[in-house]
Amino acid sequence: MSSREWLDLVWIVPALPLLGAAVLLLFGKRLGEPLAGWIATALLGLSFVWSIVMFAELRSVPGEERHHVVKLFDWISAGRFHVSFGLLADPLSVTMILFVTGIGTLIHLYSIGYMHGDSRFSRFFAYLNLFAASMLVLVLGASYLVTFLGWEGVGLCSYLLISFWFERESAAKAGKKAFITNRVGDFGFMLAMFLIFERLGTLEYGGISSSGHAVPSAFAGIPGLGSGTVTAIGLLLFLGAMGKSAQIGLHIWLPDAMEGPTPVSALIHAATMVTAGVYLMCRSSAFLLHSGDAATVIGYVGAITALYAATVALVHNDIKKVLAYSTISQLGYMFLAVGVGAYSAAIFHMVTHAFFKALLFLGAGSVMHGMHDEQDMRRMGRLRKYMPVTAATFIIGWLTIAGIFPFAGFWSKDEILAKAWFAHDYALWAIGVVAAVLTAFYMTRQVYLVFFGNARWTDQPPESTPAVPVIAGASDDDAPPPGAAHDEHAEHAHEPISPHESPGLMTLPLVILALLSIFGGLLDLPFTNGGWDFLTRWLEPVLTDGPRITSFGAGLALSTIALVGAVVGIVLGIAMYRKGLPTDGEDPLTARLGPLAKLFGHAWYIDDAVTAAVGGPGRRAAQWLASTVDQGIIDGAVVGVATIVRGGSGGLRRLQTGLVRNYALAIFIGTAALILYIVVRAG
Amino acid sequence: MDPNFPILTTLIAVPFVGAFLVMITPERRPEIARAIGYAVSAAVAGLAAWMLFDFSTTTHQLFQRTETHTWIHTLGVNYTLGIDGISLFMVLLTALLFPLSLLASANVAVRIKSFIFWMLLLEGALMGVFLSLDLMLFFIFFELVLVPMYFIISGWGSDPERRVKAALKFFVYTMTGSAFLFVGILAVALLHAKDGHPLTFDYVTLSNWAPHGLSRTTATWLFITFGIAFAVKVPLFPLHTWLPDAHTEAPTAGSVILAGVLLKMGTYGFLRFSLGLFPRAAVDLSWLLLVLATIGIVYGAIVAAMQTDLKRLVAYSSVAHMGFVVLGIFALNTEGIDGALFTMISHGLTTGALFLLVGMLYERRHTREIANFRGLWKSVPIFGGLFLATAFASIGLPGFSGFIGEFLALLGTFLTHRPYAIVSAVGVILAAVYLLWAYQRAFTGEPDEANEHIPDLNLRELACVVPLLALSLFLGFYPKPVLEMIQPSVQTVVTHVDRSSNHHQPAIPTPKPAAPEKKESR
Repeated sequence: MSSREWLDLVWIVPALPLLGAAVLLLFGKRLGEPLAGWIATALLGLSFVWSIVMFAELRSVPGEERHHVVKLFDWISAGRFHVSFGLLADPLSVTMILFVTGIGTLIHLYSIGYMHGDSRFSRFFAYLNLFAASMLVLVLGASYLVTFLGWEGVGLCSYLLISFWFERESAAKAGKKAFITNRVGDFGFMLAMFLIFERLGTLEYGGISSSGHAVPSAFAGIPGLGSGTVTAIGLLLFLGAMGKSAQIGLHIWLPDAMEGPTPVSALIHAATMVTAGVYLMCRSSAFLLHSGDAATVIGYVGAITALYAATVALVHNDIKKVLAYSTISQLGYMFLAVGVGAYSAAIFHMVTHAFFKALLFLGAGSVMHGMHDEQDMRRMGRLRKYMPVTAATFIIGWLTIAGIFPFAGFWSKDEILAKAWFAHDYALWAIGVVAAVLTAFYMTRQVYLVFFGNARWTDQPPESTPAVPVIAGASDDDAPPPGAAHDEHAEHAHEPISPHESPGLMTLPLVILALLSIFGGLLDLPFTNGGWDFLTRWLEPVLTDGPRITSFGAGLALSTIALVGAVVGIVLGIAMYRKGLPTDGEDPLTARLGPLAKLFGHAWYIDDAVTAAVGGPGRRAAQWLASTVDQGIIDGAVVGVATIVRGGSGGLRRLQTGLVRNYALAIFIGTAALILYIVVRAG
Repeated sequence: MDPNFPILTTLIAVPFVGAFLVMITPERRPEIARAIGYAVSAAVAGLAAWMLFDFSTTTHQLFQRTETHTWIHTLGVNYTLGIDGISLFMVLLTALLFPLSLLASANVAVRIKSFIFWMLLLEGALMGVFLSLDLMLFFIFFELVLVPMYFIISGWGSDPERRVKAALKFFVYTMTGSAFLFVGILAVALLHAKDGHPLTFDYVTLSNWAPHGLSRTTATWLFITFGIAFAVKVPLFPLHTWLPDAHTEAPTAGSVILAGVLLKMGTYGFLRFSLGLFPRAAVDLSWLLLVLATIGIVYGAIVAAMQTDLKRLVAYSSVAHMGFVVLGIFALNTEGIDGALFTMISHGLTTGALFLLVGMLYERRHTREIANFRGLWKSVPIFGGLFLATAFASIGLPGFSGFIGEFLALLGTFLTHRPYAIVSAVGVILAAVYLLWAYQRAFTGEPDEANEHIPDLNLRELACVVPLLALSLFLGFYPKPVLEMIQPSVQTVVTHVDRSSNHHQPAIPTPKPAAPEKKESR
């Protein structure tokens, strides 16, 4: 078979996990634990293998022709609107499927251990597989509409998985919140599609069809558009991306999303869902290249998000919530990169972030697993003695996200900051550096509170000590999740905790992810002359980065500044938390931040404000519409008219007695009379 | 199929004959009436399916399988039936929903004989509405529908006090609308006769004459008379308040048919008669319909969110969904009208399924108050899962039929009347709000005492709901057969409107082949 014939089979990549989801939804109960988990993992693993085959086949095609569209069938065809159900294999989509399936498989594997004993074990894996399948459709879609199908599938699965333990009120609410917040973004995505179709006549990304002919592409017509239109399209698509990728304003669902089982958090934060927005922006780079305004907005929203979320992560005490805000912050970096036109840098950071964030989340899950579902870092400490593998891998994750040489995060974050600098956007660069210092600090705080310092889990829970204001979000003191295994933990909640290492099924993915975090930088080293920038060159047919690092000396200087910043953050963190927390539970940071601690602790009150607006005036207005307007005015008017008619005419009163036969009779008589009248007049 | 076989008449006649047969069964043998009900509605479904496969997408005829018989010669009233892509799917929807509603009514225990009688009468009348091509015949069927529906709501509704009131409200409200329709029909026919033509109520004749035969003002007034009748049926804001009452009080079968089919009489009327007879007025007044539809979409969704009664919530969601249909129709282009028709089909499937599920819940808990439910997903997992899937279908998640319809309706509107599409697209967010919020309150959490020990769905109940959901899923991924069959008829309507008015479709660029991308070497 030729390469193109092989690439025609790219549909197998999403089909395998979809098959798994179908099988597990229908027969999952009978398959039971752990078989259901193994089936799901194996299918996604096969999908990963198949993605590698696709990668190899795509590589064997000359660089210029690495666009392969597979039209499976005509999807929607109405009037002038035609969209086929097509998949596109190109360097960008193949990069995405490789890491979605790769990281996804590791998370599946981990989940077999983590979800052990849950009463809905097989359902969990059905959802996980569906989640992966949706994400794969999203990235492989050959048009905005097929991408949107996967996009919404991802939204559905996030709903199902975040509220997986739906018996818990907070989990059910978090799932709903995620879906609805994302729908706000979808509103933008849909309008963008309408506008693209109106102006360009197609929603297809274009490329070369399997028969070798060029197919119409939305992108081909972009140069003919007015700049206002392109900006509108870019910003509407960005609104969609803001929802999925949790940028400031629409980020409010992500911290709550950790209500789901921890592997779900890892999947959402690393391999699927949040990366979708960044992918969409890179896929739409043709629009952004023609609209400097849209790009500027995106870059600044990203930078502000990066900084904002980093400040919030400083003071949180929930091990998962710190990581959640760190995800928002890191996504901000990726949008910053998109804003300065450094698309391949955004993808590079997305990939390395997938490595280290999956590692950190799964590590956090491992900690919780060994600590009877404890999530409060104030009740941890010194755990490196008890869970050496988790600790060692988590520490690698910490150094990676902090941007320490030579871990993967150093290279990818540095590329973004350097390109921002070379795009002459010094403000974005500065914000990025400040956020990087904060990142290094809060991750150091987390590592020291969890793995070093004093062991605080032997003490009474420090509930009486208000170290930091109680954080919005119900999960802090909520009951642990239901499900057999977790219920058991809950019963022992007040007994002495004996931390222990997690089983091999859970630590193996940690080790693999740690290795990827160490060596991931090799994917795209900034030594362009030596040809070491593999990822950038691989993506080049699709993505052309605007800014180039033109001076090696300046690049080195920028790297040094970023590295120094990271070291400063780490040193500060170690200085403050070397001994853990004092016995009274007072966090030294709270005192130093003063009033800011409260602001950060409440995540700048954004979520509170939205909740208050929707729940207060919003709800009152809706209630007013439903009762006063609908029942009072509109229905009242109808009833009023009926009453007046009844009161005004005694003869009509008989009609209101409820004898419908009279009405029926009236119609017939009336009809007959009118017909008679017509006959007379017409004749 | 023998081309001379009068299948359209058969589709109308079989339910009527069935109703007659039910009437002569003995009162004390309700199982006979029930058996006739199943057999007749299944037979109609079979006939409709047969017609589907026999439907031609290549014919140049406007209407297929037309049947004409002179009825009242002096009045020019004929018995004329015909089918095109627009009516085909309304007939199919009717034929599909009746057997399922009857199956869902297996627990109806009182006056079974009359119940089946009214149901079959209703089915025959609805078939007549969608197949009539004579205005007078259409009107007769349009009115005839009210009678069985009235008796079904008032006779088998849930609350003996309120159901009579709700039925009466439904009856008087829609009847008032029909009065306008009747005047309008007579006026069109008379003006046509006055113009020197023989008196006729034939739709095809009138729709060829009216667009140029009527003055612009007259056409506008007549459009309004037709429009009021149809707007009440849809129902369009602010004429919708009969709907929540009627829906809430109606028995499950009544609600399913009411939402699934009866509401479509309004949008079908707009599409067939308002656009066909008064295309220019439709263009002139499209802004008004678009405004009301947009308000309906947003307002219906907000009011739905505030309902405490689950059935009322679904009823208000219909106001929003039907708003998308009217929006698509008055976008007055192929994309929009395709979307409107598709939404009509999809709404019949998903809202039908939602009403079936709410009915099944009521049979178990004897309440519809959301506050009385808790944790149902845990106590009745199959029911909970199916309800959630249906909710997502109703929300219009891509992959379900609702998405295709709403997307096309919004797209069509965006092309011609952009601001309305932008505001209406907010409905996409709101649909998720009211359904998922209700789901969260009723189905998640730990079930309390009252909700803990209730039986999950049985096979009969699954057989009612699963086909609807499966069809919605199928059409979400493969809408092609439906879109292909409605395309010629919709195109005819659009061309008719464009030709009869100074309405022009906005140009959509034809996509150019992608230029080979330029690569910069580093």
